[in-house]
Amino acid sequence: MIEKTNSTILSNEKLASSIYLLKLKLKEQVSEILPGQFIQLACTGNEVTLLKRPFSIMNAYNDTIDILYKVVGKGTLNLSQMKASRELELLIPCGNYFSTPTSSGVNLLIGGGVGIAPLFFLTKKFPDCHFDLWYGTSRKNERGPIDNWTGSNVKFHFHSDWNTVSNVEEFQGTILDAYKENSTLTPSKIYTCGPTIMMNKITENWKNKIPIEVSLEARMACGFGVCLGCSFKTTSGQKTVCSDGPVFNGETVVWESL
Amino acid sequence: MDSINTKLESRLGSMVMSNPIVPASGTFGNGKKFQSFYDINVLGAVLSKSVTLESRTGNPQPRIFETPFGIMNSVGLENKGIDWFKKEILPFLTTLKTKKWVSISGFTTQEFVDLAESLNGFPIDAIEVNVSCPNIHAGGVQFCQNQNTLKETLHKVRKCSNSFLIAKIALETNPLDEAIRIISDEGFDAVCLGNTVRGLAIDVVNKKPFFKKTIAGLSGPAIKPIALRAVWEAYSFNPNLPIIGCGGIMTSSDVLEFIMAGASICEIGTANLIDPFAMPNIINSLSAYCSQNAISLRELVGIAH
Ligand SMILES: Cc1cc2nc3c(=O)[nH]c(=O)nc-3n(C[C@H](O)[C@H](O)[C@H](O)COP(=O)(O)OP(=O)(O)OC[C@H]3O[C@@H](n4cnc5c(N)ncnc54)[C@H](O)[C@@H]3O)c2cc1C
Ligand SMILES: Cc1cc2nc3c(=O)[nH]c(=O)nc-3n(C[C@H](O)[C@H](O)[C@H](O)COP(=O)(O)O)c2cc1C
Ligand code: FES
Repeated sequence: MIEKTNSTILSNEKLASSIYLLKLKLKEQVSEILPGQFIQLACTGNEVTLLKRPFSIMNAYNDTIDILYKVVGKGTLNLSQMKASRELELLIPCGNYFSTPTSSGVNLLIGGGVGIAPLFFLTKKFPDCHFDLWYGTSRKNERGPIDNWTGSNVKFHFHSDWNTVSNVEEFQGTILDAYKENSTLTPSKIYTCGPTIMMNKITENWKNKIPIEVSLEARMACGFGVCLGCSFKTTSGQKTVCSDGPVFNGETVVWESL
Repeated sequence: MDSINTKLESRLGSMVMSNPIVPASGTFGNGKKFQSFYDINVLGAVLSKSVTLESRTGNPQPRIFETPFGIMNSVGLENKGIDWFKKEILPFLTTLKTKKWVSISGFTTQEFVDLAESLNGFPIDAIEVNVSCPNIHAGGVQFCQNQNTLKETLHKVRKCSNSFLIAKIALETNPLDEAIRIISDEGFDAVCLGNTVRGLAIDVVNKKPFFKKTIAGLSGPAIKPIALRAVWEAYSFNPNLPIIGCGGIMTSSDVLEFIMAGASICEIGTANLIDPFAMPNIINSLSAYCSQNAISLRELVGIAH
C-alpha cells in the first residue's frame, strides 16, 4: 500500500558529473519495499515545482532508502542543492516490482545511466542469486563508484557510449553492442532499466528466447494510477507505467506508444 | 477527519451536500485508488472520470508537462466506454454513502444524448455534462463555444434525462453571459466553471510542439484567477444558477475565494495529483475556519459581490 510520509535527508552526495546519491530517512514505517518500486518525491526548492518526481529505489534498509539521481531539470536541480537534515515529503512505495530472479542460472542486468538503480537493489535483495550487471552511461564521467558497492554475487561490467580521450570524444557503441561483442553468457532471465530506446533494442534482441523484464519511464503527474498521464499501449490494452508498472514483460510493450 | 460540521453543509440548488468539496473529473480516477488513502465518503460528492460512448485509447505520449505554477495535460479522454463503466464502476460507486456524480463526454450531440439516456434508472445523484470537449461535426470547436450547438445539446440531454444535470464549460467560453443564459433556460441544474485552459508548449530541442496534439489543457494554480473571474461573472449574470467553481484550487482559502465570488461547490483537480490528501485536508481546514468564525459556508456564497 502506498503511504504518504515525510523523510529527512541523511546525505546528498555528488558521485560523478551531475549524478547524486540521496539517502533519506523515513519518518514512518512503510510496507515492504521491493526492487523495481519507486517513490514520488516532492522536489520544490528555489525553482518552484508542483508535481512530485518519480525516482527508483536503489536500496532500502531499516527505515532508510537510497536514490540515485541525475540532474536534468528544475526538480533535480533543486534536489542537488539540498543539504542534510532537510525534510522531504514523498509517496512510497509506488508501482509494481521485478519478479524473483532465478537462483539456478545467471540473471543478466542491463542498466542505462541512472536506470542502474533498481537493478542494483535487485542484487542486494537477492544475495543468493547470480547477476551479470552491465552498466552503460552516455559519458565516461558519469560512471560513479557503483561497482565498488556490488556484492560477490555480481559480475560488474562498465561501458560508456562516448569515451573522452584528451577532450576528443570517440563513439564506442551502445551498451548492447558492448555486451554482444564481449559476452558469451546465456542468461536465464534479463532485467533492464534505462532509456526507452535501449530497452526496446534489448527486447528485440532476446524476444521469444529469454524472459525480459523492463522498467519503463514516462512523464508522470500523480504516480498512483488516477490521471492516466503515463498511460501507453501494450499487447493487452492500455496500461499505466506508474500503477500497472513500471515493470513489464518487454514483449508486451508497444514501444512506439512510449 | 473531524466529526461532521454542519457549518460545511452546502447546497447546489436542490442538492444538499455534507461539504462543498468534490474531485474534478479525470484527477480522481473512479475513486477506487483514493479509497486506499482515505475514506472517500468524507467528500461532498465523488465524480468519476469522463466516460464516452465507445472506449478510447486517448492521446499519444507525452501527456504531461509542468509549467510554472501549472500542469498541462493531453490525456485525450482515455476511458473504457460506457458499457464497461456501467459494469465495472457503477456497482462500486453505488456502495458509497456520499453523493455520486458521473461525468459524460460526447463528440456529437447524439453521443451526449445516448450517454445521458443510458444512465437513466441508475442510482446516481448528478450527471456532469462535459460540453468543453470538441464537437467533431463543427470542425472540433468546443460545444460550449457555439451557442447553437450548446443549446441543441443541452436541450436534447435535458429532454432524455431525469438526472440532476450540470453543464461543465470552458473557462474561456465567450460570450459567457449567453452560455449561462442557455444553461439556465434549458433547465440545467448547475454550471461548472470550468475545464482546463487551452495552452501550448514548444520543445525547443526538437523545434516542435511538445504535445503530439499541439494544444493541451492547462490546470493548477496558474489558472485560478481566470476561473475565479469566470465564477464572478457567471454569478453576476445570474445569481440563481448554482455554480461549481473549478480551476487551480489548492487550499481552503482558495475555496473561500470561490465561494465568496459565487460558487456553492468547488471541484479540486490538480491538487489531488500533487497530494492525494489535498481534499480531506481542505475539508478539515474549512471546518476549522467555520468553527473559529462561527459562520457557515452557505452564508458566504456570493458575499463579495
Ligand atoms: C518510474 C520512474 C523511475 C525513475 N527513476 C529515476 C531514478 O532513479 N533516477 C533519476 O535520476 N531519474 C529517474 N526517473 C526520471 C526522473 O523522474 C526525471 O528525471 C525527473 O522527473 C526530472 O525532473 P526535473 O524536475 O529535474 O526535470 P523537468 O524540469 O521536469 O524536465 C527536464 C527534463 O527531464 C526529463 N524528464 C522529466 N520528467 C521525466 C520523467 N518522468 N521521466 C523521464 N524523463 C523525464 C525530460 O527529458 C525533460 O526534458 C524515473 C522516472 C520514472 C517514471
Ligand atoms: C490529468 C487530467 C485529466 C482530466 N480529465 C478530465 C476529464 O476526463 N473530464 C473533464 O471534464 N475534465 C478533465 N480534466 C479537467 C479537470 O476536471 C479540471 O476541470 C481542471 O483540471 C481544472 O481544475 P484544477 O486546476 O483544479 O486541476 C482533467 C484534468 C487533468 C489535469
Ligand atoms: S502518473 Fe497518473 S496515472 Fe500514472
